[in-house]
Amino acid sequence: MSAATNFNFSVIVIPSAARGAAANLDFPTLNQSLSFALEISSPSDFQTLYSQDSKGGNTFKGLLYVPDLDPSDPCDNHELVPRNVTRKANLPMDDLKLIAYAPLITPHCSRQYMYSAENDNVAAFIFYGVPEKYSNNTDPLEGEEYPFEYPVYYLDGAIGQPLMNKLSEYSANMSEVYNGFNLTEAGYDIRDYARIYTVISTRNTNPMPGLWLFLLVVVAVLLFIIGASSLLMHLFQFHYRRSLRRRIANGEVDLEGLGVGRITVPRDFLAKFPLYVYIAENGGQTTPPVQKVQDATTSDNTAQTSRGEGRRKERVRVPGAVVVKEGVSIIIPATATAERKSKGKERVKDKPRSPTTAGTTAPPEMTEVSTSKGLTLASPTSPSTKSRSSPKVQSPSTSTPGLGNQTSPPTSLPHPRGYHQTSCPICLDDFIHQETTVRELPCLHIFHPECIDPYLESQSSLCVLCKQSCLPKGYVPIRLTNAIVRRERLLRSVRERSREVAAATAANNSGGGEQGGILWRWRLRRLRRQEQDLMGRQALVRAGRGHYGERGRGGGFGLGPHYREHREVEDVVRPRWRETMDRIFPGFR
Amino acid sequence: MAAVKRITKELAEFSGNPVPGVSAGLVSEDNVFKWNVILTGPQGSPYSGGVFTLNLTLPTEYPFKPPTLNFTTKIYHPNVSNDDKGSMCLGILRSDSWKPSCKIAQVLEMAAGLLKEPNVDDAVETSIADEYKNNPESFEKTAREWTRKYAK
Repeated sequence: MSAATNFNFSVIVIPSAARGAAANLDFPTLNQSLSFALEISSPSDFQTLYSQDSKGGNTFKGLLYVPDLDPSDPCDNHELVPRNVTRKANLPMDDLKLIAYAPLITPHCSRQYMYSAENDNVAAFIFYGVPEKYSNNTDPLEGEEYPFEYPVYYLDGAIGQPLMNKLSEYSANMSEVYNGFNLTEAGYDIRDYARIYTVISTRNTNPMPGLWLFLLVVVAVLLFIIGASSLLMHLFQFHYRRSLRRRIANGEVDLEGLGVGRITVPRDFLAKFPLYVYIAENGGQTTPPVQKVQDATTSDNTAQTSRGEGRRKERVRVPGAVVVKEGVSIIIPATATAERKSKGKERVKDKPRSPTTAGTTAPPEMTEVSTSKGLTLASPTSPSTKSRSSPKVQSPSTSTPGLGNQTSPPTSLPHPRGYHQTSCPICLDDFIHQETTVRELPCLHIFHPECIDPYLESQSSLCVLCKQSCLPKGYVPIRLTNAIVRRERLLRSVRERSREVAAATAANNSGGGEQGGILWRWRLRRLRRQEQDLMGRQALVRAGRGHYGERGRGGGFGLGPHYREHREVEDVVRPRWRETMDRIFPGFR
Repeated sequence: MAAVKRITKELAEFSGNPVPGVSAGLVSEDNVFKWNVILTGPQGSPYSGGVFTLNLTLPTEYPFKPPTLNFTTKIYHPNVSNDDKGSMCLGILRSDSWKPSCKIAQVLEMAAGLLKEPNVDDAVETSIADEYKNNPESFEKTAREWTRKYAK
């Protein structure tokens, strides 16, 4: 409810000529020295009795008058309300804004006045207190529900009664009002009307802040919460992305398994994979190491040099064989090596070498394709240069105590031959000794370049034999999005969970079951359920794969089972609001 | 085309050195990607006496993608889906474990081996696999019945 803060009474002059065009009461006030003006702003002088206006800040303006009562009504007390007080009939026009004024006598009389005022369509009603001999009532309705729309105010009797008397002085024409003679002398038209004009100012007294303010605060708080959580999520996502990038760079994440689409090997990486001329086992005994056919780039050269040197250092002459694999050497008794050699399925007829033969090395057994067998690097015979080999090529000889002493330019690196492969696994054609050029992938598998290159460039980044990534460690081939981060986290948690299941099952099998508490059993059951759920999902994906495979769609060979599942999800065009949601809250999905 | 070259090579190799119990050939001479395979039920298995025809379909991406094997003869087997496709799901035929070095002959050998001994750990029809594990008599009975009914 809005309470009055200020009452302002003044006398305005309404020209008689303005009849009919003066509803806004924008008239000059009467010369104050010759008339009357009253300002009431002390809160002790008035009260707000009823106000249905909740906004406050409004002002109510109008000409002050006393509403008419039935002439027979006893409420029409002429001791309080002078006979010549300003009535509706004394106002120049009908459609003026009005403020009713009346003494507060009995509830009955108040009601009569208020009904009358309602008929006159007043802007506000002001009651004033009367001496106790008439009434000591201060509530015009005595607690009944207030039925009107206009606000009702109460003025102290000490101010109210004189104002009533003043009102009676400004009801007639200009010559008869208070100081009328002087006024007409001062040049006011005798036909003009001088009437008391009232302005009531209000303010809001609601103890609650305004509804709007409240809503504003709520909205602001909501915005703050949204902003803060969005910021927090973005920070977390940023952190996750960074840690995923780090782990990818460290080679801890199986990118292909993440199913982030087809990861291929860029052409310039592919160009760095060494090309060699294939040297068959038996050829190695009579020919020197082959040279690298393709000129590697400078950076590649350095890498090759360091790698080559690292490897060569391992090839120390020992009575036995040394298995060399990236700086790890295992000494194998010569007899074992010889035995294995004879078991090998290779076409090469191997003569078992004596333990003193320099640098016999065997590759580690990594795939079923490869059979372990002596490397042909350290050829006991003297070097014979082929037409293609450059003068830089140096080859070891039996007289050399070890290869570690040798330094050879990177361009003349011999083919390290990690695995024994006699044919290309893709076209099944045999490699021809000293003729076929082979591409060696970082996993040391060799292929025809024309077979493997298109595949790596367009289909996958994995070696077709060992499924090892051909991309260099630390290379992040994709843009890391939040979706990828999420998927990686999900995959990891799934993997951890299945490990937990396995551990729990193992514990159960060995422990006999009963010693675990209810909690433990419940946990186990939950884990099993999750595992089943996971298996079911994988089966579903597997089934889906077959379906897609038949249609020849999305054919990423070698991608993990999650590839298509997510592809399917993400291919769906999502509504714009979802996009926005994701942008604001990257953590929700 | 690399795939055609390799398949032709494999076909020649297979004809020269066939897998016992398996005969295979092209469905039509002008399409090397579709093979017609006939498996004879091995002795001592519930499929003995049966003749099973299969379709071997090679993808155009072969050998980077695995071939698919479909039984056109109905068979009661844990590793063959019991629907109109009759697809056989072997470990090596899954694209994530397929290796290009694997030959068609090896695939067929494996298929023939599965008739001798089903692989219950990698089953498509889990109910048949359970029956095979827990109630071998009933499994054999049904398998024999189906062989008599469909594979004669």
